[in-house]
Amino acid sequence: MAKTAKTGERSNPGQHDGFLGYRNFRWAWRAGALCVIAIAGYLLMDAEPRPNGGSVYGYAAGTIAALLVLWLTLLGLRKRAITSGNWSLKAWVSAHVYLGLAVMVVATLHSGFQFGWNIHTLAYALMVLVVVSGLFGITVYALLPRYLSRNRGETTQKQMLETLKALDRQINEAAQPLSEVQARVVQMSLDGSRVGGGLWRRLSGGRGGCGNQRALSRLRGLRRQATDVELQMLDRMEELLQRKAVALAQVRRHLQIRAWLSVWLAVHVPATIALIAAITAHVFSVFIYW
Amino acid sequence: MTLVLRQVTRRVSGAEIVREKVLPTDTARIGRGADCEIRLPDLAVSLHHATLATTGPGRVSVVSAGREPFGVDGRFVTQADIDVGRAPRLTFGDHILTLSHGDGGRILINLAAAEPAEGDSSSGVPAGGVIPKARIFGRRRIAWTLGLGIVALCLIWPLAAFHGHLNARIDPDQQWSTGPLSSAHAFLEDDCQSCHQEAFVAVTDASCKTCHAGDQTPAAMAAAATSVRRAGSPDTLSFVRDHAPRGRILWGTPPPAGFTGQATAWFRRAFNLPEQRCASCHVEHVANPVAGRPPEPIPTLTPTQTCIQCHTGLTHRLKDTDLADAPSWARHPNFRPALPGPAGLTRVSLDSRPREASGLTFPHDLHLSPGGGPARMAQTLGGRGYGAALTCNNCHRPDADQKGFAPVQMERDCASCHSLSFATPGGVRQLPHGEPGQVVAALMAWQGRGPVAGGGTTRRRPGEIGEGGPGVGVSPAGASAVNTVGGAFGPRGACFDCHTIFRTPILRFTPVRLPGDFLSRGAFDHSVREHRVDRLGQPSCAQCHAAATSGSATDLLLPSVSECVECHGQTTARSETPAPADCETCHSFHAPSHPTPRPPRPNFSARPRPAAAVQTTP
Repeated sequence: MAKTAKTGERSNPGQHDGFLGYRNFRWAWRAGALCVIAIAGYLLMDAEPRPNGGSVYGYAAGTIAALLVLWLTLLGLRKRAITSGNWSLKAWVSAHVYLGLAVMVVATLHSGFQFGWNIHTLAYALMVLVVVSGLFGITVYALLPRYLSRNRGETTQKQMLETLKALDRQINEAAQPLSEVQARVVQMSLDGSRVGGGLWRRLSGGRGGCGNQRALSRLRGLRRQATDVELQMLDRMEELLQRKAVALAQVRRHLQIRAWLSVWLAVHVPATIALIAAITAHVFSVFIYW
Repeated sequence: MTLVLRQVTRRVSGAEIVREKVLPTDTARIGRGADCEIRLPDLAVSLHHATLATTGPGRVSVVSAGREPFGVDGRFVTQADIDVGRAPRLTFGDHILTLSHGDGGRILINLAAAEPAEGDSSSGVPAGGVIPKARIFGRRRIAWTLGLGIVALCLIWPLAAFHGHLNARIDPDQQWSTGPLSSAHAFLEDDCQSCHQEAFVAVTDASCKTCHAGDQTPAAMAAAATSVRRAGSPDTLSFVRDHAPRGRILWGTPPPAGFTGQATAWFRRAFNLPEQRCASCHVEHVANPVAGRPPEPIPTLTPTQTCIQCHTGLTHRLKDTDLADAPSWARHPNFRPALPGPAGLTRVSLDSRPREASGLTFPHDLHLSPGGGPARMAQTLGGRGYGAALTCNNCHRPDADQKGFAPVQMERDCASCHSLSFATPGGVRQLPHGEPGQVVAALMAWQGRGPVAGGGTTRRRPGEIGEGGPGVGVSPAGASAVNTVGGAFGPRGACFDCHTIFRTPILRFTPVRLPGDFLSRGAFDHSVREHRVDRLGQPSCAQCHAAATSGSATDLLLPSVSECVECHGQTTARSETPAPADCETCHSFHAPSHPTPRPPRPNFSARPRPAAAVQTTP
């Protein structure tokens, strides 16, 4: 439990309380209790002719699940306003995670395990997609940050990019005396070393078609026709390109991990909006064809 | 002509720094090489790319040193003669040389790096950091697309179809179906509006009765059957009647009990889901309550009330009902046969030992007595279904389905002994039965030709005319027709044996009223073996019907319900022939006077019933 902090001090100094374990898993216990009640109700209620969304239990579970979904969606608004206390953002996220998992249980029981090719199962599938993508998000949040900081070392993303630019400047300068053919090869590194880009490129670490890599391999081929003076220049150039390759790998890995840390949101958020639309259609259709 | 190179660079703050250098000669080499007068640190430029030379006042020529071209005002050439007065722009890679006249006839060569486009740079790393993500599939855009798409496709489109704004071949509202229909209704799968006729209104009985109403004319029924067959129904259309008018069912239903019941009732009221509709019990879109099985042949039956729930205390809820409460099998009211009374058929409980008033004179004991006259006559009759003492089935014939008995007909069931024949000079004639007027007319026509009145009550075999006896006795000479008629209807006449006849002063018969069915609100199936014969296979009529000791036709030979309890609701330990005590054994919901069809509907007892429905006698 949180100690009362004196002015100017942190409460619970030295103890980091993540959103998952917030207040001794308070929300995990509450969500667990909700699941236990839901399962007990499912087993005790004798819905005729079989468990379904249209029984008393089914409507109760459905209402709870729908309200929970709406509340869970509010995290999108809530996270933009940071407050403290019982309803701090951390508490809210903790509740979001565990109640989000509980929704899966409640909604499944609401369905009575009746599935088909209809709007109702579409809503269910979208809910599963949202929950599973959220689970994926929690997993990457738990696993990847350590790799992110290990890869980054003491630098920041800005510094990594500055390093790349500095190397580019050095390469540009060092290439000035080179012949046209050699200069064109060096230009490949300068022009074609993409960092970042589309989703797939970020997720996969995006090394495909790297100009720097091509320049390095071409440069080795050029050594055969080079004069002694040129060979010296090429040695210098190759060293620079090697350094750039290392810097590129680091920044790409950095962007890759960051992409994995955020890609689930690209599913979680749109699927949530789709889910709310599907729930609306689900509820309306049931009452229209009452 | 002096060439002056003005090199313009830009500070981070945006301010320009201009460095001027007077070139030593009229000719200047342009390129990346260190020996060039105009040096362009650009890898896209050759080491010695071109040479610029003055050719006259205000004119210069630029010639490529190799094959690499350069740009002059947007065109790429390898050689150009240029008028400086036109302020030409020469481009080499990313560098721009702008020529202009300076003071004292000097030619100014302005050298500047091309302004990079926003976010672009010579390296793969843009000025802002990394190449931005493709925004075509941004989260917001996907979210809006999916959300609006689902609303449009799954809500608005089906709604438009429901309101008849679309006439498409596909049925967009089918996606709203919560599950497959039973196989009997599967042909309606793509026609939601055949049942869901009004939005936000639960399926009404009128929808069901469009096809299933059992109270319509036979022609209407035939038309309905034809139309559903045409629509693709695989089944024979079943017609059902209401258990009772819906209002009476609603009043007769006990109020919901317990928290769940009251919550359900509240919910149903709040959400306009009326109870006691057809669809309250016959649930669709379930296909099969057991997952994975093929759809049920008919809608799944989910009784909302048991028989006993409504028929306990029914008399308190429906004050004007003539039904007795049946709170359990053990407390099933005694049978109340419909007996003819002054005000038509009246139901009287067997507990009050009612008498039958058929208007006939018929002692069962005499007929069944093995040593009595009827027995002897039957022996005499021999091989026409007789030959031994009379048994029940000599007179009572099963009906077509063997479940009950056809009404007793005098000519068929009695006339073998109680002959209606009488002798005339022209031969033996038959008196018509059933219409006293016709009898009188027949006798009048044959007046004096043969007596009808006979002596004694000794029965003779029909046909043995002239041996004396009723109907065939010797007529006193000169007896008038009236006397003959009087004889027939008189105390020793043929009719008087069975009928009560008054002379007031005209002849009057006590009307004969044989109820077709005493117990019209339940069903007793005589074809059931245990109902017909005993353990040894002998007819067991006497077990229920005390005919052998009944000396009067006014004895009501119906067994009381306690007779049924001997077997129904008993265990094997207490009865050799235990039988179920479900209400459905004798009553069905839609036709209470018939048992529920057996074998029961496949899903009728999909789940075990609450024990209250099957109470046994303690």
